[in-house]
Amino acid sequence: MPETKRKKSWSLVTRSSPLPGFRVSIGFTLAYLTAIVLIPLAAILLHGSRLGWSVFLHTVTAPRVLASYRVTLGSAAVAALLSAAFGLLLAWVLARYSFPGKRIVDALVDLPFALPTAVAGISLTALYAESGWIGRYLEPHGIHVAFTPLGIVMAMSFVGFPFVVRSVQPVLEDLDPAMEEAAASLGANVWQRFTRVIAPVAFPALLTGTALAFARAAGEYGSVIFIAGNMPMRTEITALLIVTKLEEFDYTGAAAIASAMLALSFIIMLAVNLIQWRVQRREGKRV
Amino acid sequence: MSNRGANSSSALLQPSMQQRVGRVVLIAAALVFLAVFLLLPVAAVFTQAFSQGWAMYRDSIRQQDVLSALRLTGLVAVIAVPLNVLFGISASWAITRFEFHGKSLLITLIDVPLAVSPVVAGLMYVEVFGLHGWLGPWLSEHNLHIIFAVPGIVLATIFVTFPFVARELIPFMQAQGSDEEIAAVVLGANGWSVFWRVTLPNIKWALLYGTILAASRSIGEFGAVSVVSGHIRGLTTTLPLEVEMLYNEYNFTAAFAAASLLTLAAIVTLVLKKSIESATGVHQHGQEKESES
Amino acid sequence: MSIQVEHIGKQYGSFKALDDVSLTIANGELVALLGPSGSGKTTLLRIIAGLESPDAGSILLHGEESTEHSASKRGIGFVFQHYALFRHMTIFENVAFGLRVQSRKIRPPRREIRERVTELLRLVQLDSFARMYPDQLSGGQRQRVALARALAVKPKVLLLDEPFSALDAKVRKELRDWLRRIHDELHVTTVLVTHDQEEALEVADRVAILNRGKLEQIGTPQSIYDHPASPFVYNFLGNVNLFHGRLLADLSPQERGDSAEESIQSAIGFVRPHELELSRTLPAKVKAVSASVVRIHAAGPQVRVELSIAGNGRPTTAELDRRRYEELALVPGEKVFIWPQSIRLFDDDGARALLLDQGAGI
Repeated sequence: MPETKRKKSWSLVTRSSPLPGFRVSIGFTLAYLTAIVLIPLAAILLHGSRLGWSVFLHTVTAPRVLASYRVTLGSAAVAALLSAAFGLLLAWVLARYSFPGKRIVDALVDLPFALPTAVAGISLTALYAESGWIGRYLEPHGIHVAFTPLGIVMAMSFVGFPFVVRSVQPVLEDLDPAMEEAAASLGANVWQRFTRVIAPVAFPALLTGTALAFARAAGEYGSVIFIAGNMPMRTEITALLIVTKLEEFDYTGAAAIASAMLALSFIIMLAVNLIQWRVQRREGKRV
Repeated sequence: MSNRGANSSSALLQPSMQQRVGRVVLIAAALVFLAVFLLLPVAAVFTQAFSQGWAMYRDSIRQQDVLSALRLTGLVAVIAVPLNVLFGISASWAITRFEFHGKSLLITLIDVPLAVSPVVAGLMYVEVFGLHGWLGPWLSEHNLHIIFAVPGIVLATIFVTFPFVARELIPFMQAQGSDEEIAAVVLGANGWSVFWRVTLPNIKWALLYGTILAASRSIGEFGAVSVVSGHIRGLTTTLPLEVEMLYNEYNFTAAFAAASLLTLAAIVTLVLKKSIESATGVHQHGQEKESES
Repeated sequence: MSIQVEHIGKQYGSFKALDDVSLTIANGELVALLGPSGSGKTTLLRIIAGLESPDAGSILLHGEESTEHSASKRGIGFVFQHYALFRHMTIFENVAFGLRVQSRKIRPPRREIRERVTELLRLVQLDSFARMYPDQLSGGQRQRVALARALAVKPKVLLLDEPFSALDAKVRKELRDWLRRIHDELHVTTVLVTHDQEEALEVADRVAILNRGKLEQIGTPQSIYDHPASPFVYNFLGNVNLFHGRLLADLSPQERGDSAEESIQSAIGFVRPHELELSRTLPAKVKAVSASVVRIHAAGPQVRVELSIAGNGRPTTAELDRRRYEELALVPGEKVFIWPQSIRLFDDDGARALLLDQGAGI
């Protein structure tokens, strides 16, 4: 009997599974994502592109817009570094030490995630204003926080540092004590153990966390607009600029700037994925 | 032998005097930072809210606008969260129980709302449903209002909160493995039976955890809702928006009073999260890993 | 370098991990610490290494009091059960680590480090893997790297914590032989912790058996197998059949032996499966018991025959070589007579032991 060769057709599923419900679940998931994410995303990007390249560029590089980039990205960068420093401190303390109240501290780290950004915004303003609990000690020394870029940095750090903690903490906790013991048995002192064994493993996680903090800070709206002062060219963040354009019915301008912000978001997402991929490839473990 | 760094009895990790001092300094620094950065703002909210006495506080909260904002916030959460729970279950079932092309793209798509600025998120929906948007003309023909109305707020809230349930369930279901479900299928159970009797009981705590995160976020969302809402007091103002409006009117006490409600919700969220983490080991950092052979 | 363990005690809360343990390991010896989990063997090893500190007692390395010295300063090499390789470093960097962290004064120049590492990798037959990461190697390969890494700094003592238990049986055997060969070549004092008695008996010069924090016996593999000091040791090393009973009054003078002055009321007799003889006919000069054959396991170098004796709850196992088995041609269900060639008696608390040898004729 002649053998019939079955043609191999492309199938969505790469390995068959005895479990039911693939079609239902993937169908619903894709439909949901298309409606909630893909179509709206496409709408903004297409609107932006409809402008034509030169008008688009002109819009997103107008002086006021450029100034907002400077304010937003500059503050976000500083905030990301601050987040990295304090986030690393917290992650270290939580992962390696035990002390009374540790569980409360661990829970508190998530506060910026749980607190509505508007509430954070008004309370930070209250704190750092001239009459505020912190402001009153800083103002006499000429340190103005409220309504200055410094205030923006403070607010951005507030919402950013949990990302660093939650990225680094699990990595530090998963560090096998045997590795440190092995390093010690081979003659490494405390500093060498830290720089050669602990730090290299924690560094990618620190990078990821800082990148996420930066992304969050750059897009942050509610926590920032109260403390910022919102003066165009000086303390106006890009997100606010978009809202202002909307209120002026300049939908096109808003869409253009939003597209630029989206581009930044995707670049950061790509960078984070790259870091994770590199670590996974090398160590076979997720960061 | 214990595998935990902080609790290991290893003499190696037993600190010298110098290291002990360093440790205390670090812990103190961390606690001071936390106190200044996190506790003070929370305290400020309540102090400001009660700055003019309990009566003033109570009246501020009882204001009609605040109450309707509260109602709207609740309504939005009640619609958005269950839908996102459905999405989360559906997505994690597909992702963790099957192999298919484009899986990593799918996972990346789920992360999009976390990377996008909330204002941009709101604008996205204006672009689709707004007067000048894709569906704008069709909607106004049929006298349907999405933007500057409640449905728009619901949509924007769905967008910013849908990742949370999925992101909790996916690693959890991945780690659990599908053995039990396959056993159920072999024993003759159909799809829904497998889900109700085997999957759901196993994932219930992770599901609850993700739901709490999603609910907390949907209550507190500001930027995206601000863009789509139109700020019509009493109709399309959620509680965070009401806080903003009161603040901009220099009605500080009332603003903080409303904010205090939201802060209480946030604290309840944290307490619930921590209880679930401690009691069930869900989302516990640094789980014991199986030794590699 | 010799190791002296003197009256070491270690407690975790109310749990006594080690209770007054003392032993001496001579320079160049390979000693196995053998025992079930919880026996304290790993704790003892880690105390010798300086990774744990004892509550009581002291450790002397080469005659020098070392109990307070930190692990980085004892000149030891340690191999962990789960390898503990540095995941983010290549194989080469892993092995070179100990050399690179040495202080400037004693650190060898880069070229010498490279040569030493390459030589070690060649010794463990992994030189082509130098640029790979631990994740890309199999378990057996990773453990060889761990060994090379520990040997790189020329330790005076090599300590291995159940190094092969995470590997599958065939790899385990290979690495076991290989460790013995390396030891014979390098003559480093070596202490190996294991729960696998076959491993300990095959590899070590001497074996120390620990149970619940106490040292039960230490000696050459032959001596502890042939002359176990307690029921625990007997039971732990190899299979055993137990016969509860009372010594009959009409023992021959030979059996009553050294304990003639006291009569032992009840005792437990230990017989190894290969020490049991079987026959269809009642033997003339020895005391035999009748038993019925339950099951025969004929696959493998020895044949295991499961028997049941009326009145004895647990099944009795006899081991025959193939020739004897084929001579007898046993069938399940048939009745045979069995008797022990030699039987070791312990009274109920394992205190006294007599060895009765029926081979001499009773």
